Amino acid sequence: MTFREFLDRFDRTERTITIYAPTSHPDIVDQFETRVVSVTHTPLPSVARDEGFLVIRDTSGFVASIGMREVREFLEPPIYRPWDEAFANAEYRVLLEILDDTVWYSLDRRQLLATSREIEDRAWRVGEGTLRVGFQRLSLLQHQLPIYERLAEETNLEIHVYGRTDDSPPNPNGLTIHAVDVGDADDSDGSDTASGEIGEFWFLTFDGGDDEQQACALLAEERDPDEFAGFWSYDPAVVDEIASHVASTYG
Amino acid sequence: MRMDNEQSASDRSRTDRSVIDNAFLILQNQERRYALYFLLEHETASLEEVADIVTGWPRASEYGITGRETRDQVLRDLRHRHVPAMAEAGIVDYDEETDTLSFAPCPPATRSFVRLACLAETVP
Repeated sequence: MTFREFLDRFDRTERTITIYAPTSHPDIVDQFETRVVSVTHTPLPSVARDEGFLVIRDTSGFVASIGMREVREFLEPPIYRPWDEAFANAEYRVLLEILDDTVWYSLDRRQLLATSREIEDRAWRVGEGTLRVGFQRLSLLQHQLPIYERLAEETNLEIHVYGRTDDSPPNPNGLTIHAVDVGDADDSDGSDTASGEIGEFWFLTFDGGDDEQQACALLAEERDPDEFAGFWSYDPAVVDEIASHVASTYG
Repeated sequence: MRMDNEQSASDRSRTDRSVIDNAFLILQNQERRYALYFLLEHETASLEEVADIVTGWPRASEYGITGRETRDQVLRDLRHRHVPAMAEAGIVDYDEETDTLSFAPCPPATRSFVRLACLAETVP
């Protein structure tokens, strides 16, 4: 199983999104449309003065509804640090859970960073277990170093960082760094597990420590510059599959 | 008699008092109001969708996500209490076969009340 095969498996969304609002919100429709398969606008009467709301449905009907304000927050999430108190209450995290196991397109770095923070925050709060993080290039860890140093110092997490070797990768205490060179991967099973995927994918997995209910993962492929397709999952089995692939292929 | 003459002179007919009573009786409940707001725009809708609306819309300005349990309770309330009440009051029709609600029998005066309530209750 390669990263691409994981992505393909979840590339069939069964969820639909309907925006109920007096006027169409082309910006929001656009943002969802490029990211998930089905989004429609159903008008509310024009005498209604509010912005409206959004309903998410799956094959068995209603899943959740949410006001337009939080939808905007979800599409342009504030970037918190894991220990921020405001982060614990941010409603868009619940929306993340509702919209998991679905491949999203046109995700940008900001969206991925917010989702990554959600995973790092869980790891921070649980304080133990294994966190695996893939940077496309190891030097990118530099930007996240304050977060990861604090995670390493103040928790019992086992933290593995993966990335393509490039100039001046940091090597802080408490993190296990796996520098991956192209052609480095163990291809003994004959599959197409080229180490190239490390440079193309952004991933995080957290096993939840003792509590697999806290398990979560993010996997996203950069298909165009700063444009990713990816999914996140709160399914312990999916998280375990991705983490196992990473551990067995890259150590 | 005199009143009838006045009405015809101004080309208006007095709305039957029972229509007004029924309208206010029905409109005193928020779930029924939001169901009717939706019908203002769509005339006919499945009860399932109306339940989704009545769940999501009143909570749109609250900060939070509403889940399946709340929605299922709303659907039960609609099915067993509100829809029979609205049908009884002559404001909606419910088609059991298709499980749809339609606004067709609603008197014009009641529609106006619904519209006003929608304007007053929804906030930017």
